[in-house]
Amino acid sequence: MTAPWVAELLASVVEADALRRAVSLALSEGRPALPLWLALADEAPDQLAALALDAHVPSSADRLDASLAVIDVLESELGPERALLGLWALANTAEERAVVRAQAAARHPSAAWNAQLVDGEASPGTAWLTASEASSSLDVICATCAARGFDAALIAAAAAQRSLHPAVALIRVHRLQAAAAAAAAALDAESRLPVVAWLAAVYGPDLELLLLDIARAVRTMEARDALRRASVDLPSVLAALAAP
Amino acid sequence: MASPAHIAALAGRTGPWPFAGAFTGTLCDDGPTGLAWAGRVTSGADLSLAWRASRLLEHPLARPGLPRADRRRALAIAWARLDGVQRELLGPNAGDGVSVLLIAWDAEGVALSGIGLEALYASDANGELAPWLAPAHPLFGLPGLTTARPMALTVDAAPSTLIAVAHGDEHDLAGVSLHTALQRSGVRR
Repeated sequence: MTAPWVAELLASVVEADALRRAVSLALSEGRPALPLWLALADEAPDQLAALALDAHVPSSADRLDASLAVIDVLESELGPERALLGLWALANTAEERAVVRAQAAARHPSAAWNAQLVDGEASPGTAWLTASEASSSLDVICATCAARGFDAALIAAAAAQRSLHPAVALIRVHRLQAAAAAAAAALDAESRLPVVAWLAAVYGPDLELLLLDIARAVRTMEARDALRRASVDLPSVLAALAAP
Repeated sequence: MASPAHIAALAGRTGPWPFAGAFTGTLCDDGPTGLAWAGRVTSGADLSLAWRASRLLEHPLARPGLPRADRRRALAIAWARLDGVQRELLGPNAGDGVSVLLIAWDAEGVALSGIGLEALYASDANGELAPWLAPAHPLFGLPGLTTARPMALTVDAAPSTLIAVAHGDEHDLAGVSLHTALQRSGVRR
């Protein structure tokens, strides 16, 4: 139910500028944003979209939370990219940026603009790749992350998601050391992955040097056994796998 | 005088998996005879199947035992070895999608043969690729292992590296540097 003061405030203004001034005054006086945003979401969603992303409207402690509470409305009015990048621009702290980043990745895991939301992330791309686990666009997401240089996040994702897409994406941008690390991480997590078939299809059948790097990076016995079976024609790889 | 070793390459296809089903290698026994090959087998979208099929074609070619000083016989042996591959293990196309370039050499010269090729390039004096055979050369034709023996071209000398384009790929490699072309062919030696 709309609070009386909110109803009174909204009833007193008809013009956008007047609404903006009234909302700014209310927020500067320490009023919470949430009841205002909820009321505007129902009665004037276009005005809400303008106010929620207006950098000149005074912030309040709950402004980001309030905006995320009405994110469906904001996305409907502005589109997901503009809404979430707009909130990202208003985020003042690392914690707030992390919240926006997580929301964006969770709501739109296939969107390439997630790559813009990495400032302050310890390992850029991690939140996005983590949220993309079930995405059918994981190959495209990995390609975007590889192009942006998010190697550490890709290697971590290879292990967490038991996927070869990170290694393939890194090969396509010619970062072979990182690709080998990602392939090894995936193989350590799931030794039944068809690592040689995939890497050969993207890199070519002259795999020996790449497999040598993977052999030096794998940790588990299962991964070493799997690589050994796939490398029967490659003595240098077998030697690396035999090394303690 | 023994000919130097040759490199056979096949340009990768366009798309996300340019080298699915590809195989390439060189076999040089103690004698002057050598064999180089590059090819690929089309096995649908299954990358594991494509890899296994490529190994089925690669392994017999890589087996030692080339004849000494007879490039024509080396080619014949290579084709006979490919004939021995079980077609039904090559995927849904059963060998119909195989393209391969074979280069055999001995002290007297070079012999080439292939299936499923539509162009053959070598680098010119500037290190850029130029067609080595005319587009309508009988060496070029449709892909697929057949019981009929493909034609062989016997020459006194040939460039050390020859890069083929598979039938239907429509790559124009003219003017491309040899290094780039080898990268595009998945040759990392």
